[in-house]
Amino acid sequence: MAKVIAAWYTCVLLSVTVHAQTVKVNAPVKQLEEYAKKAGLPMGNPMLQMILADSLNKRSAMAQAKAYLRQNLPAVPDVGAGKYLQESARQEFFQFIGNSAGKQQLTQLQQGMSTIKDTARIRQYIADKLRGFYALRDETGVNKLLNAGAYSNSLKEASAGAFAENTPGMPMLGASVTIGDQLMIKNIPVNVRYSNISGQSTWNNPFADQSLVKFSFDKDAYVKRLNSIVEKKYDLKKYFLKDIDIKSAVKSFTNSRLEALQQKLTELGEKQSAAFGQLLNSDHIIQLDSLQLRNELLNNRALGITAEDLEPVVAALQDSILLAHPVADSSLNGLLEHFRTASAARKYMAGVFALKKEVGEGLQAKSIISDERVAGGKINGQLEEESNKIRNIKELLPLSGLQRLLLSAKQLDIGNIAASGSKGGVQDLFMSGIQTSFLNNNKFLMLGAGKRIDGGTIKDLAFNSSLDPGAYSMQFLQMGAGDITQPHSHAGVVNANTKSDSRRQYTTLNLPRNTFVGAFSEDISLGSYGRIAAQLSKSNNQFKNSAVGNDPMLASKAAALSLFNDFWETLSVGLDYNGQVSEWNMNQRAYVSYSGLGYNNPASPGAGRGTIRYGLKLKRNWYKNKLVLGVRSDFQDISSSALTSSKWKNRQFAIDGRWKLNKKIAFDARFNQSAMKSTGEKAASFQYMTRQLSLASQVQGKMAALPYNSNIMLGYQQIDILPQHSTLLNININHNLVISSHVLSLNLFYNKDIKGEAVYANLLTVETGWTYQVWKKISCSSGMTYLDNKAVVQQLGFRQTAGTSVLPRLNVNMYVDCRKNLLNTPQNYLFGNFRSELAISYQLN
Amino acid sequence: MLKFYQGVIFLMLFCTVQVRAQVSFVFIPELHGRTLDGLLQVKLANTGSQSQLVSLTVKVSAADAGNIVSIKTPAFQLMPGTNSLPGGLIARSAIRFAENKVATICRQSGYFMEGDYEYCFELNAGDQSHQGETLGDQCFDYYLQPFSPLLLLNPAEEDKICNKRPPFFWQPLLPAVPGVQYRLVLTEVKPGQAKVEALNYNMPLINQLGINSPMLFYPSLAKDLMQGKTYVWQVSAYKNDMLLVNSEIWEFTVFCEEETAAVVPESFRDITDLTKGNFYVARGKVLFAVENVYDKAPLNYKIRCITRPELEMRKLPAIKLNRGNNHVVIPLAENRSFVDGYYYLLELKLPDGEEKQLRFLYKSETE
Repeated sequence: MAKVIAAWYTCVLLSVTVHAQTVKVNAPVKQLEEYAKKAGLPMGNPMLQMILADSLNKRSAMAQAKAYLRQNLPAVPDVGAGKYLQESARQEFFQFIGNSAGKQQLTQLQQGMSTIKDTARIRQYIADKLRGFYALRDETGVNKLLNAGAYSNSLKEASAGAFAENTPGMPMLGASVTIGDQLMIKNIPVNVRYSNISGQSTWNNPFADQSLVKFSFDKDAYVKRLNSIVEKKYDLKKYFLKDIDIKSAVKSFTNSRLEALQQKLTELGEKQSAAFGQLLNSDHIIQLDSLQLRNELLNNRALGITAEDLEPVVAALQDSILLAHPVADSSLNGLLEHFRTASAARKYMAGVFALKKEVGEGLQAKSIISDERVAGGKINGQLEEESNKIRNIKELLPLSGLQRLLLSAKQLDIGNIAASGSKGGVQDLFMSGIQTSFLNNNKFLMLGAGKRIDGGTIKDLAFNSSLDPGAYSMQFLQMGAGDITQPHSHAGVVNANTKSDSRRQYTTLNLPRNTFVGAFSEDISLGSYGRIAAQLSKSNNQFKNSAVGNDPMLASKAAALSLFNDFWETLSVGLDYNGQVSEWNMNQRAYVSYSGLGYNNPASPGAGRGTIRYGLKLKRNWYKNKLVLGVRSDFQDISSSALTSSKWKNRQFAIDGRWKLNKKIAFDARFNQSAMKSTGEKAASFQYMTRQLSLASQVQGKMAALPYNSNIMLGYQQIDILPQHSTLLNININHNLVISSHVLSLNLFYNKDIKGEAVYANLLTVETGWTYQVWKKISCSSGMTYLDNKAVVQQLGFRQTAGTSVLPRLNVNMYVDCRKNLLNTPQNYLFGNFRSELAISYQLN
Repeated sequence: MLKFYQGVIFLMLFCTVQVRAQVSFVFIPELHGRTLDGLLQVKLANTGSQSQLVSLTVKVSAADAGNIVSIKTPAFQLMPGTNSLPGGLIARSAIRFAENKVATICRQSGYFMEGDYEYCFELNAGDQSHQGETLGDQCFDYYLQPFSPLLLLNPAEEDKICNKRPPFFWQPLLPAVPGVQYRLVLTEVKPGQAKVEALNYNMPLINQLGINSPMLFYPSLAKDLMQGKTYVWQVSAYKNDMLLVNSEIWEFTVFCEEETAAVVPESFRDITDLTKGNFYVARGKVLFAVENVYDKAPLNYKIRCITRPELEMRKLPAIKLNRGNNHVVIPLAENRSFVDGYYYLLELKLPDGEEKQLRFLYKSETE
């Protein structure tokens, strides 16, 4: 019951929000729909129907001998465009519907005609299908095209690697296999990524391995494949009626309609009939407005019509007189003849005005069909080419429910996956499960379910437990208007239950609890100045078998039921602005966020608690990127007490610049400072402080006619980790000299701890390398290495790499670094003296 | 591991207070006292030789807030030796929170905030005959200060760096707890991979444990990072085999601007053909081919600006012509006299005395 109420509550919350947002964001789409309604269904216009039918009748007449015409097919109803089709074209059209949409639809259409007699729907259906039939290029059954290659498999990538090394605190042995593959199942491409990592460590002696697999629906490949079938089967130019010579088609349509109007004027004399025949032509209908058409009639001397004859009162009088004198009356002959002519003129003009309207609407309809993509693009602003492809596929190919659904899918991942939505909801979550998202008519829906276990992976073999629960089964949802990567208004929920679980040596024993998070995110475009994203997220946590205060009952409530409990303690809000000022070549980011001390979102492992965070990033370049300056700051106040003002205050500030003197010389300078202070009842005190200044240069030039490049970095760093105060000075020189097709490289790094506080002892590494080719196929590099970590370790060694392409796509690389310890002490916890690697990779793309 | 057991023995010897009966409690407040789940990681050392049915009650109180929470487990079998609480038991435990702010935060987040805490464990007999009899109780006092987040410093998030063996810096985990060490993982991000996926799917290039300071110079034995590739790194703080805090996952790209990579082969058209066309777009430089049947000689040329005739052309590079066919490159990108979108006129006097004129539009190269 509790779950039902929770679900109901959530749905109400979501529907209210989504409705509110949909109204706002969908306004342009609604405008388009209203415009289309006013204009009528594009293909409902008789002029277009007739033009298409004429073309199809001609095509059909040329191919009368086709065998399938002999089949006994039902008749196309005389509605919509169907009434203009000749028999052979009708039969072909039915055959096309059967082939493209399936026999089932054909049967449904027959039923619709015979029993339901829903002419409006049938008219619309036929109008839609007629364009497809008109654009038909390949008469091969669409199923045949869809079936060709519907099931296939292609290997994209395979690689394997292995290493062995003896650095303390690093794995001793490791091997990895990665396979990237694409499976095509019923035209649905699914990318499969498999990874296996195995190894052995000093801290975990048994050989262990981990296999991860991910199946992800490849939307791009799916649309590409179906679109290729559409383009093979249909001429899309014809589908959008781009090929129609609208000028001559309209003329011909108008002339035939004018002829039909004239033929209806039966009671007139020869002179008047001839005058009506010459009164108007198609150009008049197309070019003139209704007043001008009326003037054409009034100015025709042969007809002698006056403006009064067209007045409704006069017209009624004349018609009554004509009714009273059905036979000729010699005394009134002249007058009656004029009345008959005037009556005919009125009917004629009514027909002309109706025709004028039809032609106008027809031209408009044609432009709607032809320019739908353009119009849609203008109105939606963000409509991409892919959405047009998807629409064509939906309209022209007979797809199953799943295939149709996947056309609206943005993403479908199953397996060991990274799940992410908007901030405040799901973010950077690694889980075993499923995540899928859909976007249809600018409405977004994301769903997911899975299991999160943070530990127990092969890289974490050293750990048996964790301070953080880190093991949950969870379900999440996010929906609203707008794509998640575009400006949007979304609401989301996360429901999570802790798991007491174990994976390998890693065990999580948690008090069972249910956590519910409700989140809203609004992403607003500021035009050329960027975007601003706002998020609001509220969590609630309920332990199983728990009670508060003197409540005698232990309960296990769903957290969603009391989502608004402890409001401020479990609230998280944030604003994040990202933008640029192109005139100044500057981009900037500013953000501010707050989260309560009790905020807890298991779907966002990096989310902070009890934190007020704000920061700024600015980056600007001058002189076509020759001078770049960046400033970055990040301030965090992290509450550590529920009762006092105790806080961790973190202040980070960085400035960096790059000056590119010319193509060959560039300089970099960076300064950053970071400090963590604890404040509270006791006096504030710095717990950690670092200031780092680094200067670097990159130079390319020639030394004795030999090209070289050289990177030099100088660093000064103050590190205070109380009670230690340390100052480090370091230099890093990387110099490469090109000699013929060889490269001689030298890499020197020296770090000196000036105060000798042993935060990091003095360290010198020197590495040399000489690259060369063996048998023109194997690229090698050989070098000497020397390392001296003062009074800890001293090593001299040799490094060798070799790489070759065994086959055009198959690469093999090898790396060995072995050293002799000239000095080794028990304090050496970072430097081994042997590492070897072997990597084999096969890359299709 | 050895250190852990040494610690356990130390605590058993010196931290036990008011111990009765034959059961003592192994509990490390500085680690297990930080979370509600951590309370049930207490180990029960039963020095008796027989197993018996017991139930455990844990009560936590803070000096300035009073009672915070009490947890009572159902009855379970206590075996001789050191006992951990069984997982199923934890799932069936009853929890009662007090009504105060500290308890509220604990109920919502599962974490204890800063305060002077007393953690009391009481073990009672669970069988019918000795129902409720206290077999052992023990309290631990600890002034708890929550950990600061583990914040990364350098290489900065989404930074581009040219150093292929970069050092890594982060902020230490505070307050300092003896025995805390760091683990750094660095791995490559393949195209299309999410950061957290890369960290789990790909073989780490560095997975270094046992780091004592909040910094690591690039390991000497490891291969250089590669130009153009993106990497992610994460630091974890741990003590013994317990993971304490993970940092965010940051990414950076190794990118050094190398002139050699930017060279795109371009064609050299004969100057005679170019001048006939009378229109040429110079993207940072003028390229043409010219035949010189005479001996080596400097190319006699000058350039005038058509858009702004008053603009003076300074420091035009000297070009030497060799005998035979010459591919001439006049680099203009570094010369400030050339402005994107301006028209210029190049006037040449070839060694054979022939004069040519080439009108061109200057477009700056894309940086």
